[in-house]
Amino acid sequence: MTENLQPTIPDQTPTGKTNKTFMSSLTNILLPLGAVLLAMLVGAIPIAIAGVSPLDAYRELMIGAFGSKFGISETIIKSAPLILAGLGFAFASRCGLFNIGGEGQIYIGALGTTLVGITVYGLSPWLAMPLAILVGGLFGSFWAAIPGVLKARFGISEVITTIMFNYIGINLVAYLIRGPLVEPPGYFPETAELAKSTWYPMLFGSRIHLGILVAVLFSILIYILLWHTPLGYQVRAVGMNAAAAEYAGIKVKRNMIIAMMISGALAGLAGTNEMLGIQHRLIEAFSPGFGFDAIAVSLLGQNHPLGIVLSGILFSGLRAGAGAMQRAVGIPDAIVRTLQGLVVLFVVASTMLPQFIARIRSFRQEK
Amino acid sequence: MTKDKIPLLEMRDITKRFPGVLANDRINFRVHEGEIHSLLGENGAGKSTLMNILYGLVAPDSGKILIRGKEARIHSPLDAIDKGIGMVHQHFMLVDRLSVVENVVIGTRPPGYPVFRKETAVERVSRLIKEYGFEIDPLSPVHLLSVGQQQRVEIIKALYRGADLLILDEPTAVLTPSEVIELFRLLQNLRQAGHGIIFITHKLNETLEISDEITVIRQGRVVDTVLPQNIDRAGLASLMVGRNVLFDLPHPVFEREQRVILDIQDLKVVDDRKIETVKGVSIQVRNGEIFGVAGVDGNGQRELVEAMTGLRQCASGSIIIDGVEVTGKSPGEILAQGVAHIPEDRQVRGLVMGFRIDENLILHDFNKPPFTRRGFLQHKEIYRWASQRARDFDIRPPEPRLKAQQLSGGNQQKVVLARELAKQPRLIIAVQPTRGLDVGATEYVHRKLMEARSDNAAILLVSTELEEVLSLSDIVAVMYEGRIVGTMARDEIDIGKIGLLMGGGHVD
Repeated sequence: MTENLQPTIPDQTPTGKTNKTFMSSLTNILLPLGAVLLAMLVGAIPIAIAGVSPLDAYRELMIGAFGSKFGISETIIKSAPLILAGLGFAFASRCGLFNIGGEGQIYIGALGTTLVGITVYGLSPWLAMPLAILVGGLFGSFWAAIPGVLKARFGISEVITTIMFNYIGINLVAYLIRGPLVEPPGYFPETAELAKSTWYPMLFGSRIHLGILVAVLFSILIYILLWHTPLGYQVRAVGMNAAAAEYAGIKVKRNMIIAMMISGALAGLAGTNEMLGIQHRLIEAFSPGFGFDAIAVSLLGQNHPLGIVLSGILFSGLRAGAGAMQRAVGIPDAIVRTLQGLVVLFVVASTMLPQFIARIRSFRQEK
Repeated sequence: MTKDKIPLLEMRDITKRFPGVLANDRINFRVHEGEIHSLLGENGAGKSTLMNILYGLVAPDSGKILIRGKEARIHSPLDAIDKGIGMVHQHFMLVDRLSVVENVVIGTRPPGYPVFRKETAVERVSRLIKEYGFEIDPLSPVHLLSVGQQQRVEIIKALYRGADLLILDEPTAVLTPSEVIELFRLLQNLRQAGHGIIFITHKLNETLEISDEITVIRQGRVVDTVLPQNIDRAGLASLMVGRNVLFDLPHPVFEREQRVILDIQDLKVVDDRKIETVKGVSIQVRNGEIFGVAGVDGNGQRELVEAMTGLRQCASGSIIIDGVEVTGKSPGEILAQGVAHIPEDRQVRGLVMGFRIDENLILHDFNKPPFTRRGFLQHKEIYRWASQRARDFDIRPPEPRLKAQQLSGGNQQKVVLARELAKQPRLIIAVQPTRGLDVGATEYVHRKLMEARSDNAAILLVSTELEEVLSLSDIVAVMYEGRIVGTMARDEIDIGKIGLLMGGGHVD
């Protein structure tokens, strides 16, 4: 055999490739930012129609979200559940699953935490709080495991089952706080107050509580889990190409169930966060749709823990600023909902951007 | 030849640059009426780009397209169709449940618009069928047709739209030898009727047989335009690859002790539709031996391989690998027996395209030392190992942090080989190992398989490329409709007999 038997495949130069990788990580950051800017641009139209200067409105929004001590603490407080539930959605996504059931898992997680909180009176905070967190996560995990098993075992779409489990979870909580768990004498649909030993302590002498640190801690843990452990490797392999993973001997179904359980646990912790940090008792409608906003948070954050932390803060900033904007310039906070929707729309649209640019280029050349 | 006439198609100085690659570099290409013109080149040589430009899918950076001497602006496939250009893709674009006629007229303004006058459509399509001798029932639903017949429907579709220039993209890749003969007969009819035909291929024998003229492209440039009578296979190959190519690998005979490594006994497997597609197959493969399974696609090869690799349940029978029964075991357990898989479709089964090269290289062993220690992936160790593999297997560029999807097809296959052959497997199951690869990469894969044979591995090669099976195998078996219908040793190979067996004929 001769020596020069190397195939002559016209490869792109290595430097070209590196550039490409660098470019793609740059676009990973620029695209979401562009989406946010575009959303604000389009959002200016309804604001102007309402007879208010969009610049004034956005200034008030920014001040409300980041311009005062109160605003900043509100933004941070509201970001914790969004980050946790966003991580949950992202984890399932990495395994190729769409867990739309974050909202239900939040309620069930809150239920788990509450069950601990109303029984551990007298226990040291060093035991009571971790126990309340653990059980909250386990409950959320269990709630997501059912759709996970149904998917793995019978191939039932997790999209449908997780949506359905939202209703079951929310209504189960509604029933329990009116019946078995209602605080005597039972005038209000709520449970007794959780033992103080389970509460998240306040930080920095503000309303900010331990929850944000828990959320950041879990962001780091999930990052490590996904990119530095064999489990994360398997989950990502299954998510990107289940057929190849199966061929390579990875147990696809098992990984799907595990991914759903971790996803549900994270959403459950968002419920725990609301119990231990804010509400201190289980009530109805304590979540204004964190589980659904989490999907947007995760999308904007490109399913990456760091991105999710940033987009979680952005979304909660929009929420926190909405009230201020409403008070200052009299615009309904529905506008902020519209903004959130627009952000998601443009993020999804931005994934089509490269193709779009290519088409425009080829169009120009015709001219 | 009608050289003095105005060509049906002339592409002048076509240049197209993609980021980092000059895909087409001042390409000149002409096709005359009544001419079959082959476009020959390796993958990535620029054939597809050129044809995509012609079909309006890609805009050239510079250059002109002239149709019958008049400059044509083609911005979309609709423009192309309008200008009389028809394309028959490698993967058919047909609606299974609809009839031939319906598939042909779909997407055009139907006769009798706004209603659909089916009789008129049938009449028109039947006329086309008769005119060119397609021999096909216009009312038959497409899913009842053979692959060769379905291809004819695609050609009729193009003709119905008024194509006088036909582009056929690797048309013989999916056909049996007898279907190829039938296709060539049809192409000759079309040539006689004055159509121009562009025949994209990498199969040298066929090019020589059917073409009036051959244009060879290498690295975006036209290397030469030759007449088939003035060149042979080796000459074409070296034009295409840019150096001499070894067609017949040395096939050394070793004196060594052999025992059965893979022993399949009376295996029966059903497919997803619960139809039995493997109907009692028995195969023995010994160490240091390549056992080739030839056959046309869809005769149970896929189910056979899936059963062997643990992806599909066996209905009955047994599979024993080196004395260990693996029937019904999971893919992981079978891999652990020292089995390597080179799967049929590397992008579906072989690689995680979104993973980096190094991540793909550890797909089997990611959770074992040295890649995982104390529960954590050891990225440095993985990177170092992957760099070594990339060098050993000449993966280009040898940068393990690139994603698999950034590599060319040949280099993707090298990643699969680097992973599968790294562990010195006892048994290699290679399915269509060179599908979609160019001559150079094919040669590389073949050489690696021969090396594994020298290293005493048992190799089961399943391929629809008869040439590949014949050049590599020590034993050739033919699979037809779920059965092994014939087996012969290397020294008693009879190509005529194999062709007959592949088509379901009987041999005494």
